[in-house]
This record gives sequence, C-alpha cells and structure tokens, in this order.
Amino acid sequence: MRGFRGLTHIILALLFGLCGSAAAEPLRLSLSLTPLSLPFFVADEKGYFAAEGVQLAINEVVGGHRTMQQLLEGSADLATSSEAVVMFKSFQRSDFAIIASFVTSEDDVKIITRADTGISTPRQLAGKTVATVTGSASNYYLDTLLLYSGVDPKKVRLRNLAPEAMADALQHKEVDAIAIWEPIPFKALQAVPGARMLPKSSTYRLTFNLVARKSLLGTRDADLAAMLRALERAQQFIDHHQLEAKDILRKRLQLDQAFIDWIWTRYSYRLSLDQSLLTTLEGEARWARQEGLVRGDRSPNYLNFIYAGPLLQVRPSCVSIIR
Amino acid sequence: MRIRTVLLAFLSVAILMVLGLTVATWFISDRLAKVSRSQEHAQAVAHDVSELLVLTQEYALFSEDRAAQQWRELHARLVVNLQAGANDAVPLSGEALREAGLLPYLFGQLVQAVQRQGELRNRQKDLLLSRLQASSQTLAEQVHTWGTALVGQHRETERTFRALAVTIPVLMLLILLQITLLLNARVLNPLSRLLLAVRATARGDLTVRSATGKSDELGELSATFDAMAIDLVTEMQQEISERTRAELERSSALEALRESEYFFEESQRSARIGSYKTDFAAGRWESSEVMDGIFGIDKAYDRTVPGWLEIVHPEDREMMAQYLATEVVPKRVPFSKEYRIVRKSDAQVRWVSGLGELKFGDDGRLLAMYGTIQDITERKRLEEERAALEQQLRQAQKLESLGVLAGGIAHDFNNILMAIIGNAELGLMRLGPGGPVGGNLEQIVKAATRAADLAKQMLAYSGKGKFNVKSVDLNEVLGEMHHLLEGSLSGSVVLELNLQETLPAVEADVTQLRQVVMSLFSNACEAIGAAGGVIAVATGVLECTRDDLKGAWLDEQIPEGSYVCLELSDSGCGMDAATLARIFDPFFSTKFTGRGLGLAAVLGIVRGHQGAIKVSSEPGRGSVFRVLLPASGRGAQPARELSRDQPQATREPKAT
Repeated sequence: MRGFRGLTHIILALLFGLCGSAAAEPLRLSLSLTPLSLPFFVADEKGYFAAEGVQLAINEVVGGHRTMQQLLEGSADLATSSEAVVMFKSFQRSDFAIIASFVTSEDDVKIITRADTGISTPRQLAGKTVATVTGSASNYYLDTLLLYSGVDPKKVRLRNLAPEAMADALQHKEVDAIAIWEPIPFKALQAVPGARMLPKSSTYRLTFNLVARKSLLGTRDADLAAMLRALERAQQFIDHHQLEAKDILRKRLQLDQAFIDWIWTRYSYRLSLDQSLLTTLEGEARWARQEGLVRGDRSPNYLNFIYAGPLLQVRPSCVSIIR
Repeated sequence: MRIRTVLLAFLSVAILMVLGLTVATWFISDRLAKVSRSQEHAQAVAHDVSELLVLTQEYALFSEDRAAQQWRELHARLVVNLQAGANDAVPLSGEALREAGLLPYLFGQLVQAVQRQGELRNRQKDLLLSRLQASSQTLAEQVHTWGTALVGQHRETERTFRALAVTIPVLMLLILLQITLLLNARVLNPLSRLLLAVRATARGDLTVRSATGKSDELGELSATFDAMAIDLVTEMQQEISERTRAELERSSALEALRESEYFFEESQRSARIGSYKTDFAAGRWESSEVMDGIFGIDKAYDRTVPGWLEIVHPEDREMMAQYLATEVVPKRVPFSKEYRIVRKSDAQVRWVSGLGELKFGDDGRLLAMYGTIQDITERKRLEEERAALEQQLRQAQKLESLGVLAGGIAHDFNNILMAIIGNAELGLMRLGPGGPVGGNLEQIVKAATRAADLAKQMLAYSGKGKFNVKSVDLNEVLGEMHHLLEGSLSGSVVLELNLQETLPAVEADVTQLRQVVMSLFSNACEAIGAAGGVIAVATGVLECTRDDLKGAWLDEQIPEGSYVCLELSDSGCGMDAATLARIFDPFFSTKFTGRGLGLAAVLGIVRGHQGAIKVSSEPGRGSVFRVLLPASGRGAQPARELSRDQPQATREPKAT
C-alpha cells in the first residue's frame, strides 16, 4: 500500500511539476550537514519529497548559522537551524518563521579540550580561550554550562571560529577548548592528540528546526505541508529501518560507521511545535539580552516566528503551542 | 467435501469464534482496564507537572523552603507515577522520563543559584528558571501526548471491542446462514431430488435421476439410488427385452404353430386327412374338423366307439371289429385299414384309410389310439377307373390280338374259299345242269359262301376289311333300314326311332354301318325275346370330353370333339358285369346258335371308323349301346346313291 501511495505521489508530483512548474519554483533549502538533518537526508534519498510533490533544491552547508544566513540573504527559501540561531536572528529580522522542529538533542553540542590544558570541568574553563561559533547553539550551550558551573562567561575568552577550523585550532593550541556541534567534536577527538570531552551536561536541549521565509507562508503552505509529510515518512523510516537510515547518514556526512554508532542514540527525531519551544526561545532571548549578546530592551514575540499552519495540516497532534 | 466435514468445519469455526470473542473480550476488558489505569496515571502526572511548575515559580520568587520541600515531594510522586506509566499498556515515552529525571538537577541548581549572592545569581536563576520551565513544559507535552495516545488507545480498543461485538455475531450469523444454505444446498435440495426420484420410481418412472454430482454423503446416497434405478432400469429393460423376445418367439412360435396348424389343417383338408384320438378308458374319441367333415358329423355327435361303428359302412363293420380285435390290439401293431363309411350328413358312402398308433399303459392295458382318417374315395374311384381302363386295355389288346389273328386267318381263309367257290362254280359250269356232282358242287358253293361271309365278318372284326368310306348321313341310313328292321321284329317288340333332325355327316362305309345297326338290333331283339319290349333307336350329336369318352370301348384314345351318336337301347334282360365284360370277345355268345362274332364285328367296324362304343347294362333292366362316330365337316351323300355308286374314297382300315 505504501508503495502504491508512493507511486501515486510520484505521478502526482510529475503532473504537478509539469503543470505547475511555471507557477511554483522549486523550494530552495539550505540544509545543515549534521546528524540532526537525518530526516532530510532520508527523505531526499528515498524520494519522499518528490513523492509528496515537493520540488526541492537542496544546498548543504555546515552550520545552522550559515543556513540562516543564506535564508536571510535570500539565497534560500528554507533553512534548517537550531532555535538558538533563530533566537539570535530574531533580534535582527522578522521575515522568517519556524515551520516545525524535527529533532531534539541534549548531547549534540560538546566541549572538547586537550589534556595538556588540564581542563576537566567547566569551572576550569575560566580564563581560558574557548573557540565557538558565536550566535549559535554552541555559544548558548557554552554560556549556560559556565553559568550553571558558577563561572561568569565573561571570564572565558571566546574565539569565533568556523566549525571546520576548530579541530585544527585546538590541535595547534590556538584555543584551549572548543564548543561545537557534531560531527566536529567526533572529528576533533579523532584528529587532535590528547583531545578529550568535558562531562556531558543536561543544561541545554537543542532543537533543530525547519525555518521558512515568511514570503512563503500562506502561499506555499501546500508545498510546506507536503514537505512535512515527506519528513514524517522519513521519521517513520528512521524508526523502523535504523540500519538503512544509519547508512544514509554515513554516506551523506561521509563519515565512518564508528561515528554513526557513537551519536545514534542522542537524537530524538519528531516533528513538533511545542510550547516549550517558545519557552526555550524566550529563555534564550533573555539570556542573550542579559549577556549583551543582542541589542534591544525587549525580546520579540516569538509567536510571530512560529507558523503552525503546515504542521496542523499534516499532524495536528504534534502542535501544542497555545494559540 | 463431505457434509460431515463441512459441518464440523463450520462448527469448529463457530466454536473458535466464540472462544475468540470470549478471549478478545477478556483481553479488551483487560486492555481497557490498563488503559484506564494509564489514563489515571497520565491525569495524575499532568496535575503533578502543573503543580510542580507552580512550586518552581513560587520558589524562584519567594525562596520558601516549604515550596522546595513540596517540590521534592511532588517530584517523587511524579516519578512514581511516571515509572508506573512507563510499564502501562501505552508506555510513557523515555523522553518524558529523562525530562523528569533532569528536573531535580535543574531545581537543585536553582536552589543553589537562589542561595548564592552576587550578580551571577540572577543570571543563573533566570537561566535555570527558564530551563525548568522548558523542561516542565516538555514533560507536560510528553504527558499530554501520552494522555492523547491513551485516549486514542482507549477509543481504538473500544472500537475494536465494538467491531468484535458486531463482527463476531455477524460472522456467526453468516456461518449460521452458510450452514443453513449448506444444509439447504447439500442436504435439503438433494433430499428433495432424492424424494422426487423415489416417488417417481415408486410411480414406475425410472428415468428421474437424483444425482447431485457431489461426493458427499447425500451425493453418494443419490448416486447409489441412481445406480440402483439404473440397474433396475437395466434389469427391467433386459427383462422387457427378454419378455419381448420371448413374446416375439412365442408369437413366432404361435404363428408358426398356427401356420403349422393351418398348414396341417389345410394339408388335412387338401388331403382330406382328419385326425383323431381315442381314449379307450373313457370310451370316447376326439376328432379334427377335417375328420368331422369326412364323417359328416358335427360337434354334438356321439363320439363313442358305438358312434364310430355306426359311421362305418354296415358291410364293413364286422370286418373292422374283427380287424381290431384280432389283428391290431392283440398284436400291438399300428392300425391300418381302408374301409367304407356312410357319412352321417348325407348318407354318402365314402372310402377312408384309417391309420393309428396304439398306446398302452404300464399294465398292458390299452389306453388310447392316435391316428388319422383319410378320405380316399376319390383315390378309390380313380383306382376303380384305372382298373376298368386296364381291363378295357387288356380287353382291347386281347381283341386286337384276336383281330390280328382272325384277320390273318380270315384273309387267307377267304382267299382259299374264293378259290373253292371259284373252282366249284367253274365245275358247275363245266358240268352243266344235271351233272352228277352238280348238287355237290352247289353245296360246296353254298358252304364256301357261308364260310366266306364268316370270313368277312372276321375281317370286319379285325378291321382289315375293305371300307368304302363316304360322307354318310346316319339318319338316312337308318331311314332306309327302317322297313327292314320293322320287318324283323316279332309282334311284341316295338321299334322307336328318335332321330335328330339335322345330323352331321360321318365318314363311314355305309355297308359296314348297316351291319353295325343290324347286329345291335339282332342282339336287342334276342335280349327282349318273346316277352316283348321296346327297342329304341336314336341319333344325336355329342360334344365329347375326355370324361365323356371314359368307359368307352376303344383301342386307343380318341380325341375330344364332336361325335355323331347312334344309341340303341332295349328293355331286354340286360347283362351282368361279367357278361358285359365279354360281349365283344370273338366267339363269345350267350345264345346257343350264335357264333359269337356279331358284336366283335361291330367293335371292329367302329374301331375302323375311329369311333367308340359305350355299353351300359344291368341285369333285368335292359341294355344301351351307344356308338360314337366322329362328325365330318362335309355334307352327306344319299345312302342309296352312295351304295350304288362307286366308292369315292376307299380307306384301308388302320392297322393296329
């Protein structure tokens, strides 16, 4: 039955594509190359987007801060990004909105140090140089970890680095530690001699979200809903075909199986628009204001940055935001 | 498939469905109970989470130890309920448990942050409060999702239960319907067909079949019944065929028998052979229709031994009784006798030939006799005729022999006499009148002349005389002789002439005819004798058939045809059969002075004219002589003229 539905969707997609190509341009997706984006990889590999009639032009980049940048620059219609990046960008622009969260993790961002630094707890980061991507989830995670540990984040020297440069900076002792998301920590642990990871903390639960330009909202809701349906199918595929899903992830990230096995249990793939997302965004916004990371006396009303219409079409039970 | 198997299958399915319904009901009830418990847990957890969030806010604002204490107690209860929910029918997600497990750490951090001093305290408190809020909300959302799933599960279970509660009875009804249809199709319908077939068979209609074409019990029963009916039909057909054949054979046999009987009866009728059976014990006999016809009796006739003897000719009864008593029964030989009977219907005397086989009992007693009676009257008559003919033939042969002998002698003797007469007359002429031996010579001439007449008669008898044949009117000859005949009659004899007016001519020698008339007339006169009587002379024409010519005196078969008849009858003494048989024998005479050549000469003359002569006579009742001469197609010449004229044609008598 599923195959029949798939075939039907392919036919409909082809028809839609033929008939509507002039009316609807393919959606441009800026996709972050991270295990968090696995539902997109699966949907793309299994042809769910096409089957649901979605014409998608995917541009893979490293880091949600970059995908959001492409979205804001107008080179992408959609982007995958953590809520922290969304929070930071919300103080700059208001022409985007979260369509859905599709994964949560409390262990995606990690702090890696070298053994020779003697750093083994977050408190020992005080006075040290830590590389991170400012204005990203890794920045937020580092600050919360420092605050929970009684360390004023201002006592830590932050160094904004591109994710690809962090392992090298750590190895060459340009920094004492790096706070970054996967798969950079895994690579750094493998590449940097003496690299070690600080104990995990549950102070931050990251959400990764599909963000759309508001210009699409209300006009391309059907495409967005179809996209979410494809992601839901991908989510079900991940639940029921883990080996194949792992294989897809391994190929897309071009990493070995050991990495996949290492990070696999740390992600919860589920489409949602929860009230907690608002709470998290607001909390992060207050933190950003307090820490002086953003300008403004008031946080934005994040209800304006969340658009539940497509997800309500696909899976209403996944929307718990009070509206 | 057999009905028992199908019924067992349906029954098994029904039992399984009942068991399934029972088990499903039990499981569903259990499931509903578990879901209800889970829902209770979810409600409790949701309440605890909201209370926990309130206590978190209360502590963050007022830092009351009481709030922290209640928070921890409430969290402990929350964990218990969450753990219970983790093992429920619809388990709580692990994410919720992890979130709940995170809360005490965060709350602890909050407590520590609240108790700290300095600028960092508020930053930490805000961050932790925000984090606790988010976690609590996440937990509440997980619980909400859980509760939603439980409600869905509850509804699903209820739907399942309703579906089962409806489906299974419906299925059981369908099974019941199916069983009913099955019973109807596999049992009732075949039974109806079988019943119809049985009734039809009972009515004698063996063409109705009940076979269902199925291999179940009723199929076998109906097939067996059909096979039985077919066997019955086959047997009946065979029996009918045999009966028909037997009937045909019987009909054929009866037909053959009837034909045989018909043939037998017709044969009997044709052969005039009747059959009989005599039961000596009962003293009665049975006879066939033909035999009844022969005997001239009907069914009512007294068929006893005296009744049979009564049919036997009286002259033969004694002979028959003696024959049976002495020849047949004691010697146990087949009965075979020809005897005469007197038909009871018309008193006609018939000759029959009786044949019979005797049947004796074990004790030697005569039981019955089976045999035939053949009417042989005709055969006897033919035998008599044949005997007569043979007698005639023998007579004719004898006469022929005598004629040849007499003719030869008479011819030579006549020549000698002519020489004697001639020489005697020459002697008289030479002697002249008054010669001494003139008288002797005259006596010699007289005696020789008488001897010559005698010789002529002998020649006439032999048929070797010289005939001067002409066409002669017999009436005219008789007319000329009438006075002569009248003059020869004695006073007591009357001559009657009964001549047919127009009579065909006959080719005959008139002299010879006159001799025939005179000889017959003389015999008639002598037969009448002195007592007187009537001599009747008649002429006529007869169209003679072969039968008419039977019994005629002739030496060969003369042809059928038209004959001129000269009949001369007298009322004289008549002749017996023995005399009658010899009257034409030469030199046979009943008269003392007769020479016995008169009638012999008549016979010779008639034979010489290819005629015939028939004689009937009975002693005391006179005689009738009937001379038949072939009629000639030519006209007759006057007898007197003829006698004076030279013969127109001289015919030599046919040498025989």
